[in-house]
Amino acid sequence: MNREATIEDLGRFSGKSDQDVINACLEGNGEAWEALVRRYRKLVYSIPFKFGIGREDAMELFQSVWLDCFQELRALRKTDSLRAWLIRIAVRKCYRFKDTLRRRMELPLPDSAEDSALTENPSPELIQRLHQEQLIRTVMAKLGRRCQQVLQALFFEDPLPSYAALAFRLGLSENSIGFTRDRCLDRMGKLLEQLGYEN
Amino acid sequence: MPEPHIAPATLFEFARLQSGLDTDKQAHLDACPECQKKLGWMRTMDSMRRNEPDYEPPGGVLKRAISIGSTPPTTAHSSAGRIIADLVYDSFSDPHPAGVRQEDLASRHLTFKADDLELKLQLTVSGEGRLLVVGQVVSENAIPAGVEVILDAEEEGARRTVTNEWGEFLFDDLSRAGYSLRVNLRERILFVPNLPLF
Repeated sequence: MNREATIEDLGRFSGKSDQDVINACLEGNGEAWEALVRRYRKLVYSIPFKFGIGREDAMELFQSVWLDCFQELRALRKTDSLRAWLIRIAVRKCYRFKDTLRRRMELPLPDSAEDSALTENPSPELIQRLHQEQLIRTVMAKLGRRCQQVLQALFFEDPLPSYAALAFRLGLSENSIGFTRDRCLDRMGKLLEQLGYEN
Repeated sequence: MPEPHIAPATLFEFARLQSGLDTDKQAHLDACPECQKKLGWMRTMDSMRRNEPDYEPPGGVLKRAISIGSTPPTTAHSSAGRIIADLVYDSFSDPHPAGVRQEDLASRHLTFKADDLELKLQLTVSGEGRLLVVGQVVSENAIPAGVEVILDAEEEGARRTVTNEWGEFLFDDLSRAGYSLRVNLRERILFVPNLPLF
């Protein structure tokens, strides 16, 4: 049910820091590279869509970001935050893509210089939002399977399943769902806090 | 500040179901950074519901990105050796093999070679006068999948793409300007300085 939980990371690299995974990549470990790509795939792929870029072009930009990442691995070994680096590169590529498209189509400049979709230095709100979403993905992947299932259902399913249906699906008694939900929400909040989530 | 903190279930329902808070709880929330923080991440998570499924890259796209790391990054891109590709076949100037009919003049086939690499290109002009370039890179040793291909135009800047699992790539909607083309194979760069057009 929860695809995030099953494919977020690969085996022995699932609990490793970015730096450890990058070091393994530099030693030629293809499994490490795969873990890195899977770890940040949604973050990177989401950015073109936030710029209003279509699916086909989003796929090309996705490849291009990972190419840059692979080529810069040695430098990235010393980077504090791979997440921040990926956001910066992807945003820059999206900006340039849209700018080139605009010039080709001879579209007028955006009315407002604040239009973050056409600004190489996007709004702090957009950057913060990307960080927040990725932290949520990261923490979801760190949770135990039961909590992943509960939170996935509570937040991502539409319509929201009834507690009776959720209990049945998870093989729990309906009375215990409330307790499980509270425990999972608490765990989620604590892990986000540890990783520096900010509103 | 009134105690205790708002229950997680209440915050969840407030975030997910937009259920109202009673006056006391609202007052507590207004004054409690801890509850505001919890409500903040719950709201972010709630707002991810609509788009999150779209942010899963298609399997083939993910596979290509993963294939980029199939060889160790032994050499930095900037110091990679550049090899100039030689034009060995041009459908506009070379004779067609016996039995092959004259091709459409709106389409030009080119083959370049360098070392063990072969680069095949088909250039086509659309009805609107725009150029389509379809290519394939082939090596004697392996199919260069997930490899970056860069098309440079003096005035338009660079366009980039990545080869698929068969070493194929495509650039569309190009103007008929002068181009150079680079295939970045990490340990070396296959380079076509002046791409013949029409």
